[in-house]
Amino acid sequence: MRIISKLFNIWSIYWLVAGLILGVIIHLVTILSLPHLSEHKAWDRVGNSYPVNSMTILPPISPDAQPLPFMAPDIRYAVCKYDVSKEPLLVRTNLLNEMWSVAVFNQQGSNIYTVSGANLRSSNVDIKISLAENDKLKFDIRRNQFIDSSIPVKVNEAEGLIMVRAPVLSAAYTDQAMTHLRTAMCKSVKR
Amino acid sequence: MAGRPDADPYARAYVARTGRLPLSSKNIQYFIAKTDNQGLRLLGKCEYIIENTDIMSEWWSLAAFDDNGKLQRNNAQRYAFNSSTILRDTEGKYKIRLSAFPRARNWLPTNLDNKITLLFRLHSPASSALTPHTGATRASLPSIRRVTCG
Repeated sequence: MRIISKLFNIWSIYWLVAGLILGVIIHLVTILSLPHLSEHKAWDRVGNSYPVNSMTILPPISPDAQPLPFMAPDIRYAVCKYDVSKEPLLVRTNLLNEMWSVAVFNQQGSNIYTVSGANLRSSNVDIKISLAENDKLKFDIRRNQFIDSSIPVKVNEAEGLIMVRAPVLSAAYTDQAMTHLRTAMCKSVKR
Repeated sequence: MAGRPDADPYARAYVARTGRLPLSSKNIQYFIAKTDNQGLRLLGKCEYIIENTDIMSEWWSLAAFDDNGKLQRNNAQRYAFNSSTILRDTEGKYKIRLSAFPRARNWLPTNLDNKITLLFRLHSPASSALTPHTGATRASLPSIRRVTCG
């Protein structure tokens, strides 16, 4: 009887430890895979709402026009769904003041690159997005740095989202803000 | 850190699950409140006063959402206050009344049936208002006081 009890205790500890290890492994796999497997990502929520490699000015954020959660109602947004698998992408925008920004996100919603008006000497900004894995392109981008003043951004995944944020300081500035935001564009460019 | 590609795995999982596109904390800091100063859940049927003096940042904004990040629908079509639109007293302090019923001055409408999530954004946070790793100090964030409930 004692031997059975002892064996039972040994097996209990064994299963407890095994269960703990398995739990930790499942937890880690879930956390690490969530950015890739989640269907709630901004990328999935946007879906096919916007054309690829083209800038879309979003309507004022309201309960009826809010493509993503927790969007600010006092910021006007422009969004470009990009795909640089074939050609690089040029993003051109005008950042009216220090709070305006343009940001590049990958499919998982990680912010790969951001430039705000506070970072710039002039309000105009050109960003050239290309795939990092393309060696020829890397050379071209280096060369392009001397030809034009665009900011090269290399991405590891071909698809993602670009978001221009334009805080509207008050209603009186709305027209001015929209005039500048409408100049935002993104388009494929030749290598 | 949440929006950065080098953010920790938990932050990246959170961003993916919530469907947000946050900027890194160098550009904007985000603070979410689901409870009042006493730790009680923010509810649409209660009335709250949110008060503070301006903290050192370029621009701040406060908006009320439901738990899924949807703006609180209201007839006044008022969804947020920011450092440009808020009315302050002579000492530079401001009070926002969070209520389902119309209130004077800075009234941010809510829905009676909803739970409330407040999102406070600090754009280009000034270094004097920050601590090295945790961003704005707790003392510099607005207080949320329950006035009535029911």
